[in-house]
Amino acid sequence: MRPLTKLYARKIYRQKLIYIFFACFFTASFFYAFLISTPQMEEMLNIDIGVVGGKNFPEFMMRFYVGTVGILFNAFLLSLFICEEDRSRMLYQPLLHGETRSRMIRSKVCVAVGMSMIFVLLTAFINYLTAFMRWGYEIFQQDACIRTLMKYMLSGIYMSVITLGIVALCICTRSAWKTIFSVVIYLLIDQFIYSSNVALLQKIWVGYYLNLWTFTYEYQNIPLNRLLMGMSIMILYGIAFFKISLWRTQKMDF
Amino acid sequence: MEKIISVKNLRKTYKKSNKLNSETAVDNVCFELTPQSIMGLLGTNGAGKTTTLKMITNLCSKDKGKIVIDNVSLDENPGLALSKVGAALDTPSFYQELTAKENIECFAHLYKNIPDGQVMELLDYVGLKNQAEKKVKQFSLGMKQRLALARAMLGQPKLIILDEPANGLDPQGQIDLYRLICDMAKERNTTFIVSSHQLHDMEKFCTDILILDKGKSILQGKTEEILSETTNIVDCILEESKTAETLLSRCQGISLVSQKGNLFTIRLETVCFDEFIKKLIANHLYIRYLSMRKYSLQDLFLKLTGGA
Repeated sequence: MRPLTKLYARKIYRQKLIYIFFACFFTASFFYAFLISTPQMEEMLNIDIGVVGGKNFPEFMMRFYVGTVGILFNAFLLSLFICEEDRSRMLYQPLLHGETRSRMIRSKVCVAVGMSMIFVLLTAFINYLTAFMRWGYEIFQQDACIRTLMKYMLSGIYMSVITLGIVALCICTRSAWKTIFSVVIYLLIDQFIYSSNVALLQKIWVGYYLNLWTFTYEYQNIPLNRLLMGMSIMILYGIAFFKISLWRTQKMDF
Repeated sequence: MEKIISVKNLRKTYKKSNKLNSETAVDNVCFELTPQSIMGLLGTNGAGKTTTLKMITNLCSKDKGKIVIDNVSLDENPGLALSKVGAALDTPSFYQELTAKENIECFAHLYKNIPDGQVMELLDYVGLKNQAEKKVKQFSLGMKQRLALARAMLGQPKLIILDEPANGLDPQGQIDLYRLICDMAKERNTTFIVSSHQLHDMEKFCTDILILDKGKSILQGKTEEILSETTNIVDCILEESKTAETLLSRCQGISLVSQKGNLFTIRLETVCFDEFIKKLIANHLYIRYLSMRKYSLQDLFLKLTGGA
């Protein structure tokens, strides 16, 4: 790993926000597993325990993270990581010590994407842990387990693309609030496109495929053509976001 | 003679908020520096000092011009050119949660050949050895300035650029910092570009001066030459101000710089001090107060930038 990447990785994992967030996520997952899925709560909340509990619980909880919460959390974290560093004049410091702009942004992207993947892994671990504590070995039923882990992997890819998008936003806007506001707008548009019937727009919208995988095909296997189509679109978006970040960084006046 | 930095026809314009007009921040700035020079970059706020320094460090794009650092063109090989430069720009910024030593180490890792112990040596050099394990968030601005200097010294650069390094320092701190810069220039064969508003101190320790006004270079050269070329200033209080004013404005070889009531400030152009006194006496002017002072960098700066 390059020294600059190491420096950034060290910097981001020192953020207390991450540990607070995952502590909260663990608590939420624990409460869902132990309280909401009990028969008494089931009646109160009218939740179908057969669907959200047991082997399907990790997939059910995954949606909480990758749908909205995780994206917003990444936006907050990356705004601190890039925009606030820019504001406090730390972003350009490596450039005064022999680093190039291209290497600097590659290191940032590397850490940000790595971080988003690790966070998805961490949510998978937390959800499986709480599910195991509640239902025991039942959750490791082979078909469901493979399907869920695959969905986590796909979510990881989606979160990486979104992370690249947030990095591009941070670099272009150079403002934490503009970045977070843009992400909120993205999430609203995302919901609108998923629920609308504009097929052409849905086909080219990166968030549509995640919704398709997690909602339309919830607790089911994803058809191969849907999966490949979604991944291709995500890769294209990812490349575009990365190129935008790279191009904008070269033009940036500090 | 060997040149550490050569800047030619540097120009930078910024688009105004309405995007139709542009504002020239730096216009046709040129200078060259030899090893061990300390150049004072002076100018009023918004004169283009920081923009110039940022263009030299490639943090800011330039519209026109050429920058060569130690015979390496910044445009052609920015990586190599900037490896010879250390800089502390803007307000010193650090990772607040890390200690002084950790902060310097973070950046030391970006260099390939930093020997063990150099971080502590640098901290010792800037007088922060005893604070090495203290978190930067507990540092005063003066300590941060010193730490920024230590960071700029990493990799033993041939050229160090400091943007208003004396900001926030107490008078003793300023003197110590300037001494440190002078020592470094001599002992480590380092060249410095220092932007500052401390004209009195700059006059003492800078070998070269460059004054910018509205982005343009209005004066540059060796400090000694600039100040020796300029003439002496006489402050005098004379009776009968009307008569004195008429006489002084007619008198050849002198020029009236300013007048506040009976207090006249006069620049001796070609006339020496003795001759000037003789002229006053010959014209029966009663002198209540008379003092001569050397034309300082501050006088020159104010004259050139149109200050009071």
